[in-house]
Amino acid sequence: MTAPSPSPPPPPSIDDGLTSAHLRTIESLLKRAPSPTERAMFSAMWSEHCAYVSSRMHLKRLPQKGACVICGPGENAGVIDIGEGLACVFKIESHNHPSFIEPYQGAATGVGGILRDIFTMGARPVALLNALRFGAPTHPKTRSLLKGVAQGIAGYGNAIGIPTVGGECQFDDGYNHNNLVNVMAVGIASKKQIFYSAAAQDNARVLYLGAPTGSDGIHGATMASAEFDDNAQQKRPTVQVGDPFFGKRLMEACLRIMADNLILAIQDMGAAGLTSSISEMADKGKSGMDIDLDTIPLRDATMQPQDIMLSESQERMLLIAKPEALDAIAAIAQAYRLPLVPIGHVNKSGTLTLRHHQKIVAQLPVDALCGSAPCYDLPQALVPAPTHTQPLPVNKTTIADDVRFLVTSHHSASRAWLYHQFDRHVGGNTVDKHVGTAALIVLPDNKRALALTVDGNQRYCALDPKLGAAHTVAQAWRKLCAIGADPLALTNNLNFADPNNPHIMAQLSDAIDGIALAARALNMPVVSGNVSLYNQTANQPIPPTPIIGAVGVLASLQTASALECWQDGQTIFLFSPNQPQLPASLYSLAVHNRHEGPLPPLDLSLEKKHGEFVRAVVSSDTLACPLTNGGLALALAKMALASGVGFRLNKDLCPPDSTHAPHAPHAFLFGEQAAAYLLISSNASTLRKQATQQALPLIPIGTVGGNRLTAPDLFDLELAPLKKAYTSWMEDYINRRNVS
Amino acid sequence: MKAVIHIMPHSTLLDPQGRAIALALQEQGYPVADARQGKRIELHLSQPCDKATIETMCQELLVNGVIESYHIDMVD
Amino acid sequence: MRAAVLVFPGSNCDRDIATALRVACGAHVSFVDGDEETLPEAALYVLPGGFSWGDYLRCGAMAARQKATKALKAKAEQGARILGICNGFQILIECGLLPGALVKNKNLTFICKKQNLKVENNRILNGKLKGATLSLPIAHSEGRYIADDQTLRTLAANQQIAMRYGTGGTGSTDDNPNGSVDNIAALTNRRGTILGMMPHPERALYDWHGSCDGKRFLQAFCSS
Repeated sequence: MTAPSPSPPPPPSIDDGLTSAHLRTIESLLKRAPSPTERAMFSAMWSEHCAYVSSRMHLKRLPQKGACVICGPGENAGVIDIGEGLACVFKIESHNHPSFIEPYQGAATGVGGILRDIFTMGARPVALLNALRFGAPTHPKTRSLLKGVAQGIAGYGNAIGIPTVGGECQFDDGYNHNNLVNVMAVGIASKKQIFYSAAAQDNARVLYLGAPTGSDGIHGATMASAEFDDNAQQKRPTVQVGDPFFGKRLMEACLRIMADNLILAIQDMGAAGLTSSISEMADKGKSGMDIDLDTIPLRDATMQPQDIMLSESQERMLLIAKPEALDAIAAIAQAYRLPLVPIGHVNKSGTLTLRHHQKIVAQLPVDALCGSAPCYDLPQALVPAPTHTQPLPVNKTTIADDVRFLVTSHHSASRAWLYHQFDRHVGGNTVDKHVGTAALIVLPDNKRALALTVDGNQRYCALDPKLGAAHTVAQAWRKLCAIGADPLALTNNLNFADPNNPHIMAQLSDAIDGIALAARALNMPVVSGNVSLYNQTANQPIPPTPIIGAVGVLASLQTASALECWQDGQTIFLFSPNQPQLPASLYSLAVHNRHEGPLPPLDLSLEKKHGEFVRAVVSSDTLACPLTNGGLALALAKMALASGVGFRLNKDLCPPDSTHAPHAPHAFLFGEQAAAYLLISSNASTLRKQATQQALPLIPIGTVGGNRLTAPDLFDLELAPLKKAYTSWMEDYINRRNVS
Repeated sequence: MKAVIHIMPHSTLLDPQGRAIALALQEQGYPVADARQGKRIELHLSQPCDKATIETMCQELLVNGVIESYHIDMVD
Repeated sequence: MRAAVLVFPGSNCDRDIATALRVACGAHVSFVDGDEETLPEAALYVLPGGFSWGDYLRCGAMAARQKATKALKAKAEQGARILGICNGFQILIECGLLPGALVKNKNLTFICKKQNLKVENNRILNGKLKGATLSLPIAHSEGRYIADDQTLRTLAANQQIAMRYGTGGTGSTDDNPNGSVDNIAALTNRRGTILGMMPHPERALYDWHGSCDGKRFLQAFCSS
C-alpha cells in the first residue's frame, strides 16, 4: 500500500483514465513500460470504481466489527450471523452512470450485478430493495428515465425470480443530469457454507463459467469514475446488456456447485471484468495465476487481449475448482446449458501471467496491481449551508392545503405505479400484511423474519453531511425498531459528485463520519458498501446522497407491528422527546422553497433508548410508526391512506397562536425530530404503564376512525379523494395527465 | 405511401432474445449457429415524406441509438 | 398425492408451488426437467410460473416445444390432471392444450398486486368453493386473455371459465387488472382435467402472506 498522497491527481486523461503520474508509478513498479494489456489492467484496477482511490482512507473509519459480523467489507458482500445456523449476506451497489445513459439496461444490469455478489458468497438471494433518485418531475428527461429504470429493475428482478420488497424513490432537481439507481440484495446461507474469493491452492484449475465475453462495457469502471460532459452520448458504446434468463441459470448452477462443495473459491466478473476478478482472487489468496486468453469464450473473435481483460459482459463467474470435482462441475454446467472452460491455473508466483496467441501479453505482480493503487487524501473545505434566520411565512388557514399538497405531489405521493411493476411475492417468503416501515422476509423456520430497509436523506445531507448521514442511519434504526425487529447491521452506498472539488470531498468525508458515529452508537456495523463518485454533469453536482441499507431480525412474526391495530376507536399516542423543528424539514422545502439548516438535533443515546422501548412494545396489538419526513401530519396521513381509516386529533394539542410562536401549529404538525414515533395500541393501558415505568413521554393525541383526517382548527380532509389523488399521482405523471 | 423500418440490436451488442432462440432451435436439432431478434415498424404515411424525415423519426423516437441500428425502406 | 412439477430453464416458481402443495395438500412432489422424454406417474402435473426461456420470442413458446411438454400432451390425452400457473398457463396455451392467447397487459406494464377473483365454475375444484371470492396475488406482464367470439361462446357453453377477475361476475369490467376479455383469469379444458390460471395460489398460504385463499384453492383443487 502506498502512502496517501497529499496532492490531488490532475484530471483524467481522455483515453483510459491513467494520468502521467500514474504511468510513472507503474513504470517504477514494473521497472519497464507496461504493455497495452497491462496498461488497460492498471487503468481499470486503479480507477475510482475498483480501488476507491479518493475514499479508501476515509472508509476505514466506518465500524466494521461486531458480535454478529462473519465477514465485513472486502469480499463480494457482507455476512452476518442471524442465528440458528444461518447467515445473512447483503450489499448495496449503484448503477448510476449506466442507467443515465441507457436506463433499462443500466438498471437491469445493476440488479444482475448485485445478485451475483450475493450468490457468489454461497447465499440464495431472497430479496431486492432499491433507492432511486430522479430529477424534478418537470425536467424533460425525468419521465423516460423513471420509466426505463422501473422496467429495467422489473425486467431483471422479476425474471430471475428474486422479489423486490422495498425501496424509496425521490425527485429533486439536483438529480436532473445524474439519476441514482442503488440496488440492495439480500441472501440467506448456511453459516457453514460461506464461500470466499481467495485463490490460494497451488496448481488449482481456474474455470470460466457463464456467458461468452463480448465488448460490452469496456472501460465501464473508468466511465463510472469520471463525470459526464455534454458528450455523454459518445460514451454509449460501452452499454452492457443483461440477460436474466442466463443469469437465472448461472445462479442456480453456482448454488448447486456450492451446495455440492465442489470449489475452493469463487468470484464474479463485475466491474473491470476478468482483470479485477483474477487479480482480486490472487491478491486474497497471496498467489499468482497463469491464464490463457485464447481459451476465453468470445462473442466477437476479433477482440484484443485488452478488450478481453476489460469486458464487462454480464453473467460470468470464475471458479477455483477442487481438483477431484472437475467432472461434477462440468455436469452441472451442462445441465444448465452454460459454457464452462478451464482458462488457467493458480500458482505461487505472486504474478499474473496472461497469454494470447502463444505470447505473453501481460506479466504483472499482483501486488503492483492491487496493493499499489493510488490513495488520495484530497483536500476538503465544506462550504457551510444557509441557516434559518427569517421565520417561514406560515399561514394557519392553508394547513389543509399544505397536507394535501405534500401527500398528493411528487414529494410523498404513492409510488404504487413503480412498485406494482416489481414482483414482491416470488419465492413465497414475503410478508404482505404488515404496514411497511420495513420489508419482512420470513426465514426458513417459518417463524422469524428478516427486516430490511433502505434510506437516504439528501435534504439533510446537503445542509450538514455529517449530521445528515447520522440522521439517515438513525432513521433506518427507527424503521427496524418500529416493525419490531432487532437492528443488526448496515450496508451503504455513498453517492457523491466530483471528489476533486474540496467541498464535495468534505461532504464525502463528513458523511462517512456521520455514518460511523451513528452506526457505532446504535451498534450496527457497516459490513459492505459501495462508493459512486463523479455524479455530476457540466459542473452541476448531485446533492450528497449516502444511502443506508439496514438488516434486522424479527424474533417472531407474532411480534411484528401490525397495521390491523389502526382501526376505529384506537388511541393514537405521540412518543416524542423533543420539540419538532421546521428548519430543514420537508415542509419548509416543499411548501416554502426554503432549504436551510440547522438540522434537528440527534441524541443517539436517546434514539437507542426509544428504539429499544418501541421494539419491546410493538406486537400484534401495538403498532408503531416513526416520525420522519413531513413530521406528524405526514405520518398520520400515510397511516390513514394505507389502512383506509381516518383519524381525529384532540383539540388544543399545540400552544395557541401567539406572537412568540407563530410557527407553533406548523412545527407541531410538520416539524421533524429524531427518536420520535406514533404508537397505536388496542391495549393502551398496558402501553401507558410500560412507558411510565421507564419515565418515557407518551401523550395521547387522538383517535383512529372515520373517513376523514381531522385536526380540529388545523385541518379537516376527506379521506377518499385524498387517497385517489395520493394513489394516482405517479401513474398520471407517467401518462402525462398532470404536470408534476 | 409507406415506410418500413427494420430495427436490429447493434451487431456487437449482446442479444439475449436471439441467443435463447438459437439455443432452443439447436436443442431441437436444427442447424442454427446464432440468431438475432429485431423488430419491424411499418409507417403508413398520410402525405409523402422524404427519407430524411423518416430518419428523423427514427432518431427522435423509434430507435434507441444506444442499442439499436436500423434501416429504412420506402415503399410506394 | 403425487405431484410432478416440470422445470424449464427460467422457471422460478417451481420451488414455491412444490412447497405449497406439500403445505396445503401433503403432496409428495418431484421435479421433472423440461428435457425429460418420459414423465413419472403422478396424480397432478404442474407447469410452474416464471420466465421459461426468458419469456423471449413469446411467453411459453419455447417451453411448449420441449420434450417434457410433448410428453405431457400425451398424458393430457389420457386425461391427466394438469395445473398451469402464470407462465404455466402461457405454456398450456402455446402447446395447444387450452385455447386463446395471453398478450401484453392493457397498461403495458408488469403488474404485481393482490387481486380479488371470483370462482365462476367449480367443476375442476371438485364442487368446492362455489361462487367464492378469493384474494390471490397476480404477477405478470402478459396476462391479458384474448380469444375470438366463437371460442368465447364455446368456453362459456362448456363451463370452461373457472375464474374471473373482480367480484362482479360475467362481463363486468370492474377491477380487471390486465384487460382480459370477459375478465377471464382461469380456464379449463373441455373435459375439466386441465386448469390454466394467471393468479398465484402458492403465494397465499399463510396469514402473513396477507391471504390464505391459495391454500383453500389448492386444497379444493387437490381434493377428490
